[in-house]
Formats: sequence, structure tokens, C-alpha cells
Amino acid sequence: MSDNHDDGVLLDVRNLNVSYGGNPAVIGMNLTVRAGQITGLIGESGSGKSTIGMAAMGLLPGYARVEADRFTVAGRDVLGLSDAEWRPLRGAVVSMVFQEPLSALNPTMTIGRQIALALRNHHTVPADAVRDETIALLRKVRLPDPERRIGQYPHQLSGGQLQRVVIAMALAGRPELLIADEPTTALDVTVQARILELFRAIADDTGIGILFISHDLGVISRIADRVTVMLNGVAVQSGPTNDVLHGRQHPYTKALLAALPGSVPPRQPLRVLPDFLTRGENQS
Amino acid sequence: MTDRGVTGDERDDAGGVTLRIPALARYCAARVGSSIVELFVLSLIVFLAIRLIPGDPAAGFFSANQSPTAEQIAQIHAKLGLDKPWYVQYWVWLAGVLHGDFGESITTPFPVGAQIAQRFPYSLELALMATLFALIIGIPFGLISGAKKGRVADVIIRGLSFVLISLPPFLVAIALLLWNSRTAKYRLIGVISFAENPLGNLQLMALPALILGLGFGAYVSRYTRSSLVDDLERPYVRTLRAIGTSDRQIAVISMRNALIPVTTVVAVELASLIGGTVIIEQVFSIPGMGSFLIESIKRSDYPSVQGAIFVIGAVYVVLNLLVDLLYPLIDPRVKVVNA
Repeated sequence: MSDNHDDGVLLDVRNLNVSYGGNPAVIGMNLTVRAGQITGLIGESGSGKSTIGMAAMGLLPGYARVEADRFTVAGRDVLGLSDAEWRPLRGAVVSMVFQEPLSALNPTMTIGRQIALALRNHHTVPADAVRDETIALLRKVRLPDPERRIGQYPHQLSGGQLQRVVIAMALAGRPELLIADEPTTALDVTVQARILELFRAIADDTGIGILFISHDLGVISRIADRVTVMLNGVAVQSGPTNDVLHGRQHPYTKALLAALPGSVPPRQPLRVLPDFLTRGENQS
Repeated sequence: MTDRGVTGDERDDAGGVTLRIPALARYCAARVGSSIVELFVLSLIVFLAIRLIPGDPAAGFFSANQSPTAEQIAQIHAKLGLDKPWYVQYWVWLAGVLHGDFGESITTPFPVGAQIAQRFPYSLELALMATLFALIIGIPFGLISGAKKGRVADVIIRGLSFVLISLPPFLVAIALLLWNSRTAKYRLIGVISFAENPLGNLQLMALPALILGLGFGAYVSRYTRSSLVDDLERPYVRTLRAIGTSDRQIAVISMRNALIPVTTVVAVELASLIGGTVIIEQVFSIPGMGSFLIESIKRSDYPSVQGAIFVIGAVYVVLNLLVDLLYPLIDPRVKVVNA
């Protein structure tokens, strides 16, 4: 079971099918994330990319049906685990960063206590070392002035700073795999670039494997080592980022690239995607 | 009141110790200031509303078969100060109220202020005890119900609270009195002065307070439940799950957030109990503010009506002020937001 783990495969998904009440959201998906590597997962909203992220955290709603030939997280077979069985894995083996950092944090708790909670959940460090470790984590995610920040509440920080706090929380349990679901979408462009650098540094420095979910080709092209393009729950193209973006392309990948604003001369109407989604209106 | 607005980089230093204390002081000063304005507006509305009621207070000074002359009526008006323009009357009344003098009752020999001072403590005691019962009942059941949404405990609690909300308090009260009257085992009616017999006073007040507290508690329970259910659906809960937090601990964390808005609801409900318990006061013969108001209205004793309404309204203003001043302590977001 853990043979792949030795090769540094942290997420191994073969023929994954997820459906919500009979409506398929993910069909026959294959996906691999390796240690120190960032795998991009790109698609429109409704393409099923977030479903895969939530499936890898065991956070899908109860009515979701998950089937796969193989579904391992850091070498552990996670198919059919109960919520209680998932809990020790969450944060300690696989962790997640969400889109909207302000709402992802509890407004009435200081950020120091929220990170401390993540540390205590898995007894990552002894109780008397929690404060020091919290500050160390905030340093790691390059939040300035962490000693002061730990006493502050989420509304006192900016979006970029909050996302660093959320990332610190995700890293607190020392996970091997990190799922980042649109982590820069809610941030403005300059902040976005710095958060992307941080993800790159985390993968390079700690060897954590990252599944980076985004609808933004620009973001994916900057950060991902490999990319999988999703459409209507199906992976239409997969491979090293450079090959996917510049090699022979699936028509959908081509259409996505053509829709980037930079590909159109000024004062010309932007290109829109042909209606690839008509087939799957019921999916979300 | 709260502003969870989008944060920006310029907000970074707003939370520092340097700015927090002045911001908090400014917030408190602004709230106290607006409460004073509210009290003035309240006094003006109460005064004018009473003047708009048709009928002549002088009528109360004559019996039905008397036919007073215009002179006699004018004499009464002059005695009551009603011959002066309304703004002069208002000013005289307001100046009196500021000194604790609510004027003379025209149907009883006692000053209005003295009557209110005698009755208000009973109403306050009844309302506070009812609120205490409501919190003891409503908060735990509401939290259990919300945390176990859709399970058996939730269904039972919701059903029970529905029954308690629908049940008129006077019905319960009358049923209990009737049942007690068969044996006359307990004294349930009337009041005992707290100064003379504190324990007896509390014992006697407990039953009406409990009856009021049951319905109020059911309401608190429902509100607490929906507040917790909403909070548990907020995105931060997903973050907590993503770091491996147990459901039990998530519920504990969420409860704190869920109880913040309950404070306001409880305060408003508590205020409404000060003047709004006429029926229970009647059933248990408690000389409270509600029955004082009703009796005064029946006797067309306009200075008493005016005084009672003003005091009951002032309780709302003061309780709202207290909650707003309490908010920075229970909700950290209020600290740096300008009022």
C-alpha cells in the first residue's frame, strides 16, 4: 500500500468517480502529487476541481458518493474512511488552504489562538512550546512582526496577511500534502504574486506536495510543475506545465488560453469560451 | 453596529494598542450621548402623545351628574397648569423629571414619582428573575439543539419550545392557582417586601417569574439554536475541520460566536417585561409597572400615564445602552470600529 509513498507520491488517485445524488461531478479522474512538487488543477467553476480537493481531505458532504480504483494520501488508503478515521489525518498528513482568508478564520479568536489550536490538535509540539512554535510558523510564512500579530484578530489584518495566517494554520500539523483551493483568487495581484512565491518556497524547502486548484491559467502557469486541465468532471489534458501550455493542446486547453485577456489586441472584444459546459448544467 | 468589512493594508496598524483605547472611549462616549438624545426624544413623544388623547383631565374632578361651569373648569386647568402653552408645560414636566419629580397624580393623593418608585422594583425583580430562568432554560437547550441539528434531541427541544411559546402565560398561571386553591397549600399571590423578608420575597416572586421565563426561555432557545446553526455553517468551521479539530471542540468554539447576538435579543425582551407583564401582575396581584400603567389609563390620570410610559421607555434605552457598552467585551470586532 505504501509502495508509492516511498517514491514520494503523496496523492495517488486512479479512476476517481464522485457523484452528488446521482449527478456525476468527477468522472474517471487520475491525479498524482509528488513530494516537493506543485500540481496544478485547472478548470471552470463546476468542473469538479474543488470536489477533488475536498475528497482528498475527507470533507465531502455525506451524500457524496466516492469510488476509485486507488485513492491514497501519503501512502494511506483513504477510500471509505469514516469522519473519525479522517480526523487524525486532517492537518497532520493532509491540510488545506481556502479561497477567502477573512471568512476562513474565526472572527472572535486571536490568530495566535487559532494557530495554537492547529498545533494542539495533533500535539505537534509540547504545550509549553506552543507560543514559540506559533511565532516560528508565522515567520515561516513571512508574516512581519509575528509577536504582535498573535494577539490580534482577523479583522485587524489585510487579506494577504490573513492568507499567510491560514497557510501557517495548515502547516502547523506538519502535513505532507497541502491542498490549496483557489488560495489567491480573493487577493489583489501584487499580493497574489507574493503568496505564490510562498507556496513555491514551501514546496521547495519542506518537500510538501501541493495540489494547487485554480481557474486562473496565469497563476497555474507561474507556479505549477505539472498541470491537469478539467472539464465537466473529466481530465482532458495532463502533463508538465510547459507541455500543456505550449505543446499540442486539447481543444479546451486551447480555448482557455485564447480567452486570456493578454492574447487579444487592445480594443478588441475578449474571446469567450465556446459553451463547453452545456453538457453538465446540473454539476456544481 | 459591527463592521466586518473588507480589510486593507492601511488597516494594519489600526489594531495597535495606541489606537484601541481612544477608539473604545470614543465608541462609549458616542453611545452614551445618543442614549441621552433618545431619552429626550422619548420624553417629547410621550408628552405630546398624551396631549393628543381626546378628553379633558378636568372631567375627573367632577362626578357624572355635576355640570361644572366654565369658570370651575378653568380653575382646574389653572391648578393643573393646563392653561399654559404646551411647550411651557413640557418644560416644567421635563425639569421635574430631571430632578426625579414626575408631578402629582390627579386621582390619588400620592406623587407619581413615589408610586413609580414603589412599583418599579417589583417589575424589575420580576423581569430579572424571569430573564434568569429564561437564560438557564434557553441557552443550554438552544445550544444542544443547534449542535445536534436534525437529531432526536433537536426535534424534542424544538417541539417543546414551540409548545411553550404558544402557551399563554396567564393560562398556566390560572391553572396553577386553581390547582393550588383546592388545597391552599402554598401562598402564591401578592408580594412581600424584600427589605422585610428577602427569602419570602424571592419565593413568592419565583412562580410568576418562572411562568414568564418559560415562554421567554423557549424563545431564547430557538434564537440560540438558529444562531449556532448559522455559525456552524460559516467557512471558518471548515478551516477548523481541515486542521483536524473534533466536532465537540468546534461546537464549543462556535457557541461563543453564536451567543453574541443572543445578548441583544435578551436585553430587548427583558425591557419588554418591565411594562409588559400586566396579565401576570394581575393574576398574582403584583403591584408592578404594567398594572400601574393600566390603572392610571383607566382613571385618566394623565401625569401617572405619562410618568409610567416614560420610565418603561427609558428602560429600553438604558438596556440597549448597556448591551452596546458590553459588546466590545464580548465581540472583539467592535473595538476598533468607530461608532
